Amino acid sequence: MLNSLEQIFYGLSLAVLPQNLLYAFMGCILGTLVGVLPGLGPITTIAVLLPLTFQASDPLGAIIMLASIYYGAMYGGSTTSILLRVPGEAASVITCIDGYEMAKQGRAGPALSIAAIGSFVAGTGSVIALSFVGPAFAKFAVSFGPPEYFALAIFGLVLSATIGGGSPARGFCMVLLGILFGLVGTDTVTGVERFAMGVPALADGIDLVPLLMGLFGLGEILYNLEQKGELSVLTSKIGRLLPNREEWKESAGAIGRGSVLGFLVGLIPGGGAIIGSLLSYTVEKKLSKTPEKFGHGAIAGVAGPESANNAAASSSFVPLLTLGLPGNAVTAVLFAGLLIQNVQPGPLMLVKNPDIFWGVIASMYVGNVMLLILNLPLVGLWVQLLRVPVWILGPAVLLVAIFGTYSLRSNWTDVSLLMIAGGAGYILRKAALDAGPFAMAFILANIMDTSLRQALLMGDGNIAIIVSRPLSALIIGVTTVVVIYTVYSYFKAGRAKKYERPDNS
Amino acid sequence: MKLKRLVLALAAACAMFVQPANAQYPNKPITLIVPWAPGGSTDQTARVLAKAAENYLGQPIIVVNRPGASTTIGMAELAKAAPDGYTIGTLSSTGYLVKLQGRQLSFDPIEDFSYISYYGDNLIGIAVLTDSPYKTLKELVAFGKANPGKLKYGTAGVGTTQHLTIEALQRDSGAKFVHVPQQGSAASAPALLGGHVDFIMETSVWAPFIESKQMRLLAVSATKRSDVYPDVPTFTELGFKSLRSVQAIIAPKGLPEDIRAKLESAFRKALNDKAFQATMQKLAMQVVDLPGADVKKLVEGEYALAKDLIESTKK
Repeated sequence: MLNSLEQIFYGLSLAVLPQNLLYAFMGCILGTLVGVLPGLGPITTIAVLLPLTFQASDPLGAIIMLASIYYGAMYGGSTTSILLRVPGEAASVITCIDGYEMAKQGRAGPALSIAAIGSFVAGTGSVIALSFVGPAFAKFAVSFGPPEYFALAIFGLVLSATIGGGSPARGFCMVLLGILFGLVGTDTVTGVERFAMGVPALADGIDLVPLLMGLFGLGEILYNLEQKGELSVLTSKIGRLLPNREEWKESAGAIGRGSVLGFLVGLIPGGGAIIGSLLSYTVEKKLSKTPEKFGHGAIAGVAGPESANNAAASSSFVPLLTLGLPGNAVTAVLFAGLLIQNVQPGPLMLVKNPDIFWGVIASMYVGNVMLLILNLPLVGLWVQLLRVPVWILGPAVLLVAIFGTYSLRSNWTDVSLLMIAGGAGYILRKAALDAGPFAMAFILANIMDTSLRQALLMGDGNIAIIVSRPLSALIIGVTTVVVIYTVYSYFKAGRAKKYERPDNS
Repeated sequence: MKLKRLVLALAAACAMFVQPANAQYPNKPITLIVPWAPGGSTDQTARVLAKAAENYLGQPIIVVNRPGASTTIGMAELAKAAPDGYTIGTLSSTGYLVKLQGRQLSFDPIEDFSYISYYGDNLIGIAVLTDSPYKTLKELVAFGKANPGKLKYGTAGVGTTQHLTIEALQRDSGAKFVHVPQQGSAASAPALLGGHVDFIMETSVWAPFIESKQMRLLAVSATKRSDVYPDVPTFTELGFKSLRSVQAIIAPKGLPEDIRAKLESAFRKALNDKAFQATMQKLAMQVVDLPGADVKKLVEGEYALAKDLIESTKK
C-alpha cells in the first residue's frame, strides 16, 4: 500500500511537469470535442494522431495525450445524446434514452451536469482502484473465457428487453431483430459469411457507429423535422443547470453502482464501456422504486450509465498496461502507440518503463479534474444549442455524422448504412418501437454466438461447461433469478394493469 | 485574349495527362494502400518502409488505410486502380487465403496484381504456458497423437496462416488437436493465459510473455531461426511444413515494366534502412529480400499448399 502511494507520487511528479500537463490538457479538449461531435470518436482521432507521435521526442507526453483523448471522449459523448438523441460516442447510446427525455422536459441542464459529475466520480474512483489493485485484477481479466462471455451475453440480452419505456413484448421483438442483424458478417468458427449478400464491407458485420447514429440520431432528426414548428425539444424550457436535491438523491447511488460495474466490465477484454453502461442502466431500473420512470426521464438512467462508461474506459487500461492485452478497439490503437514509442505494454512494463506506467495513471487523476472544470461551465453553453431551430441544427448534425462515418474507414458503404439506419430509425420512432433493446442485442449477439461455439469446442461439445465453471455458473444463476423474478412480478402485478402504448410525442 | 490563354492552359493541362506516364516517373506523389487499420504490424512497417523508399523515388509516398473484410476491400480498390505506378499497395497472405474460404471476390487475388518486391515475414510461433508439461514440439505432437482431440489450440481465426500451419502439422504427424478460433491475434494471448486453450499458434503476441517467462515458445514458422529467439527451432528444421506470413509490395496488373523495375529497385534498397529494420525487429518480423518475379512464384506456391491443406481437412 505504502509502496503504491510512493509510486503514485512518483507518477504525479511526472504528470504535473508543464509539458505533460499541456499534453493532457490538449488531449482532454480534443477528446471532449470528438466526443461531442457525432460519429467522430476516440478511435479515429487516436488513429489519425498516431503517426504524429512517431516524431514525439517524449513518449510519456504522447501516451498521456492519446489516453486523455479516450477518457475525454467519454465526457463529451453524453452531450448530443442528451440534447439531440444523437449518440456522440457509441458508449453513450444508453444515455439517449433518459437523457433526451429529460431534455424534452426542460431538464437538459441537470442531465448534462450529472453526466459530467458522474463521469468525474467514476473516472477518479476507477483510477484510484487502478493504482492500488490494478495488477491484482489482471488475473480476473484473463479468467474470463468463452463460457463466461456467453453467460454475460445472455445476462445482457435478458436485461436488454426491458430497456426504454415501451412494453416488454415490443422490447422482446426488438431484441430478436437486433440479434438477427448482429449476426451479419463472417462467422468466427467456420469463416463462412452470413447474411453479407456478397457486399465486402458487410463481411466484418454491420459497423456499430453508423448503425447507432442512424437509428438514434438521424431517425430523431427526421422525426423532428416532420413536426413543423412544434419541435419537441425547442418548445421546452431550458430551466435549471444544476440538479436539485431530489435529483441528487436519485443519482448518488446510481453513480456509485455504475462506477463499480463499469470498473469490473472494463477489466474484461472485449467488455468495454458500452456493455458497462448497458448493465448499469438495467441494474438501476431493476433496483429503482419507480422503474416506470425509466424511459421517461429518470436521472438515474443518465447518471449510472455515464459513470459506468467512464469507469470502464479507465479500467480498460489494466489489461492493456499489465498484460499487454488491448480489450477494445481504442486500447488496441493505444497499444500500437506504445509500441511506436518503444514501450512494450505487458507484464514487464512496470519493471522496464515505470515512468510511463505511473505517469499515465497519475495523469488520469489530473485529466479527470481538468475535464470536470472544462465540462461543467460548458453545460450552460451546450444547453443554448436547444435554441437553434431544428431545421438548421438537423442538417448540421447530419453533415457531421456523414463526415464522421466516412472518417471511420474511408468507406462509402458505411455512409449508405448510416442513411439506411436513419430511415429505419425514423420508422421505428413513428411506430413507437424502442431502438435501445435493438442496439444492445445487436452488440451482444456476436459475443453470444462466438463465445457459445468456442465454449462448446472447449468442452468437447458438452454444454455443461457453461454451468460447471464457477464464474459462468454464477452469472447464469443470477440471470435465472432475474428471469423468474420478472415473470413472477409481471403476473403478480396483474395483467390488468396493461402497459400503455408509449406516447408518440 | 483571356479566352485564348484559358484554352492554352487547358491544352497544357490535358497534355500533362496524355504524356506517357513512364517518361518522367514518378512526377507526382504515390499512394500506398494498406488494407489494414492504422497501428497494426503491416501499417507500422509499411509506413517506415515507404518513408525510406521515398528517398530513392524522389516523390512522397502517401499511406492510406483501407481496412476491412480481411484486406479484400483495400485489395479490390488496388486492383481497380490505374496501373500507372501511382497507386501501389501491400499484400498479406490473408488477401489470398480468404479466397479459399469460399468468399466471392470481385478480383483475382493473385492474377490481378503486378509484383514489386517482398519485404518480410511475420514470425509465427507455437506457444504454451511455462508450467505446461510440453517442453518441445515433439512432446506436444506425441501427446496429440496418443490423445487425439484432448488438446485445444487457439489462432487468430479459421483459414489464417496460423491455423493452416497447425493443420499441416496434424496431417503430417497424425496428431489431432481441436481448433478454437479466436477473434483476431490479440485475443489469443488471454485465451492461453487464462488456460482456456492449451497452446496458441500466433504472430508475436506471445513476445512479452516469453520475456516475462509466463509462456514458452516451442517452434517458429520461418525460413530461418529468429535473431531474437536463437534457441527456438523452426518448423522446417523439425521436419514440418509451414506457411509463410507474406508481406509484399504490389500494384495493379499491367504495370509497365520500366515503372515496376523503378519501384522494385527503390523498395528493395529501402530494406537497408535502419528505422525500417528496427521496426521489423520490434514486431518480431524478419526482413526478407526477393525480386518481384519470385514474389509471384512464392505466393502461387503458398496458395497451392493452403488449398491442398484445406481440401485435406474437409475429408
